[in-house]
Amino acid sequence: MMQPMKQIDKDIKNKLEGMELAPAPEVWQRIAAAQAAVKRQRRLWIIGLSSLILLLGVATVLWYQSDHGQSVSQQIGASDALADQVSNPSSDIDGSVTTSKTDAQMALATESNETQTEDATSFSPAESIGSLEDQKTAASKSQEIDRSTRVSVAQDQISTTESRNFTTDRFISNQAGEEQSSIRNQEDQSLPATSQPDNVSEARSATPVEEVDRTKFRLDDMTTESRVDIVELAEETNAVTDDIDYAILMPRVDAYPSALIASPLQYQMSGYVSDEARLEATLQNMSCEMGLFASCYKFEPPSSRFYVDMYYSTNHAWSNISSDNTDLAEHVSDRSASERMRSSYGFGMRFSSHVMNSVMLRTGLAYTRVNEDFLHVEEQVVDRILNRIEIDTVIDPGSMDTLITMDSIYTDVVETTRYDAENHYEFLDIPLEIGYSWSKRRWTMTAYGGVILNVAFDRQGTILNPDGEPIRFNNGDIDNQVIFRTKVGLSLTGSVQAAYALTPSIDVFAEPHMRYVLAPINLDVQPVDKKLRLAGLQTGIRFKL
Amino acid sequence: MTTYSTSIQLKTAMRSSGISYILGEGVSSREQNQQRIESLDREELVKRCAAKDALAQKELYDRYAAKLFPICMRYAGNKMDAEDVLQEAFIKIFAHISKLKSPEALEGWMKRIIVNTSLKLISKRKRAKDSADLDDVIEYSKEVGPISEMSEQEILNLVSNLPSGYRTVFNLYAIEGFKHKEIAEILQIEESTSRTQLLKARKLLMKKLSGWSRLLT
Repeated sequence: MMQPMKQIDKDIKNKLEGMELAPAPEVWQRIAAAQAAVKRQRRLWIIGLSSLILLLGVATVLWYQSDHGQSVSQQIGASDALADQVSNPSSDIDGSVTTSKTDAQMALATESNETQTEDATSFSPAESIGSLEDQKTAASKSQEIDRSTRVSVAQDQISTTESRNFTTDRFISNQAGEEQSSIRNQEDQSLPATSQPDNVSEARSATPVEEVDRTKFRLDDMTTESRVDIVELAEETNAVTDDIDYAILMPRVDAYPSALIASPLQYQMSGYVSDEARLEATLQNMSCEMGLFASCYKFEPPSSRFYVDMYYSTNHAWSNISSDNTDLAEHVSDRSASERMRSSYGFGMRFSSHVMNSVMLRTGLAYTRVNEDFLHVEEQVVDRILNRIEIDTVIDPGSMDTLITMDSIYTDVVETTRYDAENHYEFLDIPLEIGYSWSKRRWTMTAYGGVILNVAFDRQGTILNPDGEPIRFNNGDIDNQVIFRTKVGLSLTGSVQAAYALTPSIDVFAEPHMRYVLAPINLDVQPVDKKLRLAGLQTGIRFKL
Repeated sequence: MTTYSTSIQLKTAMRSSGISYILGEGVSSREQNQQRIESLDREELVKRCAAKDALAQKELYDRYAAKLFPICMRYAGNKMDAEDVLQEAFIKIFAHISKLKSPEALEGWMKRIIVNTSLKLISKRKRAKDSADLDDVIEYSKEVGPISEMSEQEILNLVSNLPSGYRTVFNLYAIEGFKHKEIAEILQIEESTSRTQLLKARKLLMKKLSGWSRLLT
């Protein structure tokens, strides 16, 4: 009875195997509708991700700007007046100092050295704060120069008979600066912190969505039926079957994914070994040779040839200030000391395409912002005040003469003017790069090199002029000096991109990069040249189209 | 179809004589695309589908849907469910075809997806309990065997009308070639249950075939 039953199985199988039966036409319409929905969903996802990156970029810009705004709120000085004062700072300084000096003098005239500091500090806080508030209000519409005037008093002792120098320097009327610091600290608390800123692959590829891997079976654990098959396979390949303990199997081309775990018969023989140590070594070798690891997803170089990158970059910039004129060596040194680069950032969108198998071309649009601190401190003794006269009587033990000594103690009023500003340079660029890429499983490495063409250059801040005076620069406002170019021309660039395929159509990548701006960013007529270099790390998402 | 291919041949011939532009107006670009898609070989078709080309997807469906639909019918048991399975399976196929490395294995790969999707559907609907009462199944007779005289559709109806549990085991064992141990693992049932279901499926088929036999005589 069993045999005819099997015959019926066979007959039914033969009849049905080649059968064709058309489904209802609505099925395709439903599939097409579902595909369209998937596409819409994918598009939404891409838009969402792009928006997130854009948002991140904008948030960073705003964050930097808020930091910058905070700096502006701390600035002291009247805007319109400062335009003149900046170019001729002495007039303003004199005015500020006069107040402080008067305070200091009054304090010095009435109190001892130890109490002078306290008294002088407590003497005019209201005035100082009032003065600061006025200055701050004025500064809100002013330029980016933080000028805090400090008056320091140094004690000198001048003796008629012997010279005794007190080395105690004491900042007694540092009140303006201190009050300012205190206000700044309060503001800091309410604001964000300042930034610093193959043949084997055939078998694999035939397996569908489910993950499959080479696996090992101990023959003893197999069913008799499976064991017989494995041993037969081994005998066919002239293996000594007595020595076989383990069978190493690959999924069969026609294996049913859901049955892969279930049965060794869904696999084909890849090897067999006699002990566990050899088994591990063999598996290790197989993994290396076949590129078999955890997954059988196909992440080979895709059929797509176009890619869109969206990235955010954190950078650091270096500047090099130099001059051919040796007379300006001191100025170059002052400029270098007063301009310190801070961390910077950029973001952009790029399009790349394979032009040959592994050769790629890339272009796009990129925004980069370079931040810089300007800090310049000037000190000047503006007055000397007679503090007190100490008279002492000494009797010479030899001659018994009476010797009267008189010490005059003076106080120097030293004015410290601090110019503190934030400079920034913004680039809008078009990169033109060529790259060479190579892939291994989910990873793609691409080395890029090329040029960056600057299409717009925006700049704003303060630098020292050859006379050592701070001057403002920006995009050419009437009150400011035009020092820098409107476009900085070409830069050389190089980078290495490591991309990891999250899905067959989306990669995430990290890309260390460098940029060297070929020409100085200043105008040719300027006596001192400033050149920029940047390096940083770009991170982003790459869509394969 | 014939018109298109004729048009292409003619166009090629005219091109060689340098007057191709005269015929260019007769065929719209959409039709030309359609022609191109229809003439694609399997490898190219897979590539285009992987690139989410809608025309290629339609072509893939047109080429294989009729071959795959009977499999859905065998497992699902009715047309409505079979169409659901086909739809779901093709969505999976289009989503994952980029992972198919060797296009030669396309048909087998699609069949596996169909079978898996069918099994998933069966598992969802929990129809395994609807086994028939076989007490009255007639004894097997060697005289049954009109299979060769039956049409494919009739055989399909015969198999499709088996109770779900029997049908699944019969399909997996008799047509796909799985062993009982494998079927037990796939369906999460005892091996003995698989054997019993197969036996009952066969008996039921015999009964139905006997009915056919009587009808024929």
